[in-house]
Amino acid sequence: MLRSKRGVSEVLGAILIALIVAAMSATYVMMEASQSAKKTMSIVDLIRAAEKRQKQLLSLTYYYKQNNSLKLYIYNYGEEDSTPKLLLVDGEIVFWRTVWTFEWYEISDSNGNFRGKLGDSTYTCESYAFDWGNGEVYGGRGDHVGYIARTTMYFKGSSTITIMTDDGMEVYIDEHSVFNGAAWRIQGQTAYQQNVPLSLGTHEVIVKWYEWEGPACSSFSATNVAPHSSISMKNMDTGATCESIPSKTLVEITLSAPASSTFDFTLLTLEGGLYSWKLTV
Amino acid sequence: MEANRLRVRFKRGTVAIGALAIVAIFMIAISCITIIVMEYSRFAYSVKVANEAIVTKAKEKLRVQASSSSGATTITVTNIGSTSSLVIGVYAINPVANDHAYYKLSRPVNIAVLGEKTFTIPHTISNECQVGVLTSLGNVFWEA
Repeated sequence: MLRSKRGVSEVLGAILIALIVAAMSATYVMMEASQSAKKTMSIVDLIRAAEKRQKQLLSLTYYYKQNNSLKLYIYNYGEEDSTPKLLLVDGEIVFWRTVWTFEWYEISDSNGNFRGKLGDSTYTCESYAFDWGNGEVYGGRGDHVGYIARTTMYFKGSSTITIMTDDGMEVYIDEHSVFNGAAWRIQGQTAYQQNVPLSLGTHEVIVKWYEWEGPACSSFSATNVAPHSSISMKNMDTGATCESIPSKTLVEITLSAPASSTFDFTLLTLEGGLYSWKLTV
Repeated sequence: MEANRLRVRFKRGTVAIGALAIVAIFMIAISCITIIVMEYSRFAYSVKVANEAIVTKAKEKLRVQASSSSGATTITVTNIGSTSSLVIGVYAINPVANDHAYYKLSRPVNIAVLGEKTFTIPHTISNECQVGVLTSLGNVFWEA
């Protein structure tokens, strides 16, 4: 009798151990799968970006100075469209485009932890100010919503970053936290300001924001940055103004003529292509 | 006796679950590596295509002659390079008069190696203008 009870408890113990092992294995496999998928996708994204850069081939075919204008004829003989992001004449910015890409997320708790992705949007300007109040922020949501916004900005040196937020917000420049988590909390509309020492040139800017419940607002501005500007660009095939250089197409770019007769002209594209020419007019 | 047999079975079952987990992780790793290798091979192909385009661009060389008559300009292009070229447009410039024009060809002209093609554009280009042809690889060759 005693032996049979012992036998049953041993069997139950074995079943329990088997279940625990099965559950742990399944959890481990799922975690591994999710981490591997994330890492794989980040590598795939990098490769795709590099592939896109490779498919852009720009050639400056002709240029001339007319009165106070400099006209450049650039032909894209690559397979991908090319969108100018930065134009420099002798190191001076003549055109800069700031495009924010917003990734919207569901917020899982009041600490501002991000859960499932809701979608993407873009915004073109170096600063932004959104005041949603109690209305919709994104995807029909007014609460439990947040974003991660990314851009590259051209800083002329040290900058003062100003944010206004309800609820939490944080800014990272070249992966360094600007407010050290001081603004990442549940709060009413609050402004924060911080000076950041920066070198001249482009820097990666990431802004994270979340709204738990109640009214929502979010704004970002930075001083000493190249302001978003526009250039005159004409598609020579259609005669229409354009913002990008389509594949197998010649475009005419019109800029203010520089003072010197010999100068360096640099073009950086949104896709990461960098072209430099020494010109004499 | 029965309990011992069951214990052995559960031990085997536990080992099987562990083995399955290892196999699953192995499969995930293989899938990830396969995806990365596929993307990388696409990237390598685009690098090859881009490099070929750059090399081909350097091989292009055209000789251009132009003559204008009423309402039209006849352009003769001789391919003296080591690759065929596709002419897609014509520049006509007069730096003295600060006159610059570009004419896109309605039908690009393909010129084989050592070949010669003559085509007409429906625009009069003055004799003071210098004529250049734009190829599909972004080269411009000017009238000598």
